[in-house]
Amino acid sequence: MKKTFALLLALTFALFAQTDSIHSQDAEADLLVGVWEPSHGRARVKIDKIADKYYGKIVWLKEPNDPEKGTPKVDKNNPDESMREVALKGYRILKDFTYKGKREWADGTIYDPENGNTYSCVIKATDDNTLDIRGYIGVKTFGRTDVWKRVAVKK
Amino acid sequence: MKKTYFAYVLLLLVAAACGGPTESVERQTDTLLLTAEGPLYDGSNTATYTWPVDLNTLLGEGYTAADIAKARITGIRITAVNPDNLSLINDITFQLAGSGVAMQKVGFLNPLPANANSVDLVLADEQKGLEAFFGLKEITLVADLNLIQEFEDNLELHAQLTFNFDLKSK
Repeated sequence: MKKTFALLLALTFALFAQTDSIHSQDAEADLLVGVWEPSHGRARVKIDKIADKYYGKIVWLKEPNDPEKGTPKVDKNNPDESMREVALKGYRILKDFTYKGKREWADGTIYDPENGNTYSCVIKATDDNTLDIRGYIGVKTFGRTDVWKRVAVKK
Repeated sequence: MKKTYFAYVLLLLVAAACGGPTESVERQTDTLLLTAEGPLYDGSNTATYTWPVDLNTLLGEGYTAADIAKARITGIRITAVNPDNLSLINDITFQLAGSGVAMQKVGFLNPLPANANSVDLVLADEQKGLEAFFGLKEITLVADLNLIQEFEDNLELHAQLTFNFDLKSK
């Protein structure tokens, strides 16, 4: 009887510990959610979660209009010509990131509207308000890292 | 005679290796309700709908994702549940997303015409591997909307999608 009680108690503790760990893992994964500014400061990107993955879209542009045309900027360098009139404001440049643990999100891509190229990408949070965004082709070693800062600083 | 026979067999083998004949069908979804939860601020907002994939309804009894050789969107019609609300939207970008499949932009309209009750989106020429979405339990429809002004309530849109499927012959 005592043994059964002890076993039940141990199982209950284990279940609570596991649930707690899942919640803290979810909270850590959602650290990515928010508005971020790349180092060039010309845009702000809002990262949100859709279903089980993370996506980032441009929500603010320092220069929202095309200097030549005077109209809102569009994705003029898209390799698919049919999509070159898509508005840059609201454009999803970060796609399909999943949380890998240890404050790292991977399996995603980053799109550079300046040249129309899409790169593989990993994101690492170095603290609650700073991200290392590494874009690369093929091998992670041969890539470039940019530092993004959270716009509304989390205390 | 022998040569002709061998050529015939070879031709059959090549045809079999190429995957066999396919049948092309066009199917339209029911009206799907996308919601952007308010209050909404002017600028970029997102309306979504999780669409449970039911190939039996879409293609007929007994079809599975393995029967789809190729899928392509041939139409996206958007209608606001409250017709006045379409005038709040400057532009729309429409994407498909799902677990284990890369998000794909399939259509957009920039800008929306004034006083329209419904709009047909411009479709992407390049649609790669759309058939992979039909192997999922559900597809998330993502409409990114640039709003002209703030909106207090939920913004609801109806979407009706038309797909063209190349089905492998059974």
